[in-house]
Amino acid sequence: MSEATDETLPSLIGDAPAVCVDFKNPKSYLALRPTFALEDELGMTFDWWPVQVSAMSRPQPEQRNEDRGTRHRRIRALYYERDLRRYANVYGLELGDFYRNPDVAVASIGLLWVKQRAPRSLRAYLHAVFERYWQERLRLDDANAIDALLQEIGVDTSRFREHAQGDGRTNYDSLVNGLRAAGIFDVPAYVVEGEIFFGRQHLPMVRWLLTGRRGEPPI
Amino acid sequence: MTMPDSFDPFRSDKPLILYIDFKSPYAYLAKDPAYAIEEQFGIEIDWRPLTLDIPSYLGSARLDATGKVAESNRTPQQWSGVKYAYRDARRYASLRNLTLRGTTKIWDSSLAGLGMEWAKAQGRAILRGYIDRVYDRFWKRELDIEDPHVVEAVLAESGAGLAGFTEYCNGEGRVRHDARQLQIFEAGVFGVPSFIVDGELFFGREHLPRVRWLLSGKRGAPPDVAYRHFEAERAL
Repeated sequence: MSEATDETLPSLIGDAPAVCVDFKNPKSYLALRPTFALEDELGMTFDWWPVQVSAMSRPQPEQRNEDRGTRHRRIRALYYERDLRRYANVYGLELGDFYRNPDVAVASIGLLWVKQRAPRSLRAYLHAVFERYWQERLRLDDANAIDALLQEIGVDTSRFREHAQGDGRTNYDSLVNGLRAAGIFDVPAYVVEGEIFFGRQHLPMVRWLLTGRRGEPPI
Repeated sequence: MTMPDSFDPFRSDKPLILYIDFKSPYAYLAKDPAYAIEEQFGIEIDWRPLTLDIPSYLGSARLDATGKVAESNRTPQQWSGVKYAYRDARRYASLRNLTLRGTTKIWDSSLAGLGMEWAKAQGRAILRGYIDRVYDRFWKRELDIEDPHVVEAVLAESGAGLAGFTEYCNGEGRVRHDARQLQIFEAGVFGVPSFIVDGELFFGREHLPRVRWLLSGKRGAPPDVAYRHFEAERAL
C-alpha cells in the first residue's frame, strides 16, 4: 500500500477521504447506498466530488467478419450491462438507458453548491439527482430542473443559475480537468490516504484503511 | 491420457467453473479465495484455462531490460487502465505477501494452460501444486512459461506423470485448447478470473460474495460486489 498516486490530487480535493462520482454513470449510482452505509458505520462524511468520465459505449450490433478486438469490446459491454442490472436488483434500483451522455455540468455544479452552502443536504441531493436521472425523470443539463430540485430539498438557490453559467462553471471545468489529469478516469473513485480505488468493491478496503488497518485485510 | 470430448463453456459436472490465465494478476489474486470456496463447500472447482488475447483489446507493449517501454501500440487510455490494474493488483497482493513483478512482455500462456489441463487430469492435489508453483514463480519472473521443459519440470515437481505430455502439447492437447479458446470466447467469456455458477457468468473476484450466495442455495439477501476478507466471505 505504498505506491503514491498523482501528487496533484491533494491540491485539488484536499486530504480527506473522498468519493468522486459522475451522475450519468450507473456504477456511481450503484455505489451510493453502500457508500452511505459505510459513512454511517464509521460516523463520518466523505468528501464528495463530481467528475466527468467517458460515457458508456452502446454495444454495436454483431457484424459479419468483425475482428477479435471489436467482438471483445462488444461482448464485454454486453456483460457489463447485464452485471449492472443484476446488482441494481439487489438494491431495487431502476436503471434506465445506460448510454445517455448528457452534459452533467449543471447537476455537478449543484453538488458543489450544496457542499459549500448546505452540507447537511448533500445526501438528499445526491439521492434525488441519481434516482430521478436513472428513472429518466430528470435532465441533468436542465438548470431550471436542478434549481427546482435544490429548492425542494431546502437549499437556497439565490443566484445559482448565474453561478452555474459563470464562476461556478469555470471552477467546475478546472476541477474536472484537474481530476482527470490526476488519474481519476473511472467512477466511483475513492481516494483514501492518497490512493485511488475505482469501484464499490473496494469499500471493505476503504473501511480497513479508515479504521486503522485492524484485523484481516480485504482480499 | 484421455479427456472428455464434450465441452460446454458454461456447463460442467462441477458446481463451479473458474477460468484463469497465468499471465493475469487478477486471476492470481482469485486463486486462494477459490481454494477457500472449495474447502468451505466441500466441492471441486472445474479449473479451466482461458488464454487471453490481450493485444486484441488492450494493445500491446514490451519493456526493455531497464523497465522502460521499448515498443507499444497502446493508447493513453489503455495505458492508464493497464497501469491502474497493476497498481491495484499489487496493493492487494502485498497484503497477502504475494509478489507481483510487472511482466516485461505479453506472454503466450497457452502452454502453461495445457500443463494445467494435464495436471487436472491427474487429480486435485497435483493440480493445486501446479497452479501454485506456476503463479508464484511466474509473478516473481522466475518461470518461462513458454518453455516446454520448464512447464514439464513444474508438472514433475507437482507430482504429475509426464508420459505423453510432449505429444499432447504438440497434438491433441494443442488442437483441443485452441478450439476451446474459440468456443469460450464465442460463448461470451472474455476475461479472467471468470466464475460460472448455474450457467451465469461473473467476471472478477469481487463477485465471490455472490458466488458463495448462489452455492449456498441463495440463503439470505443477495450480496453486492466486494473484495471482502476471508472470514467475512465465509460468514456469508
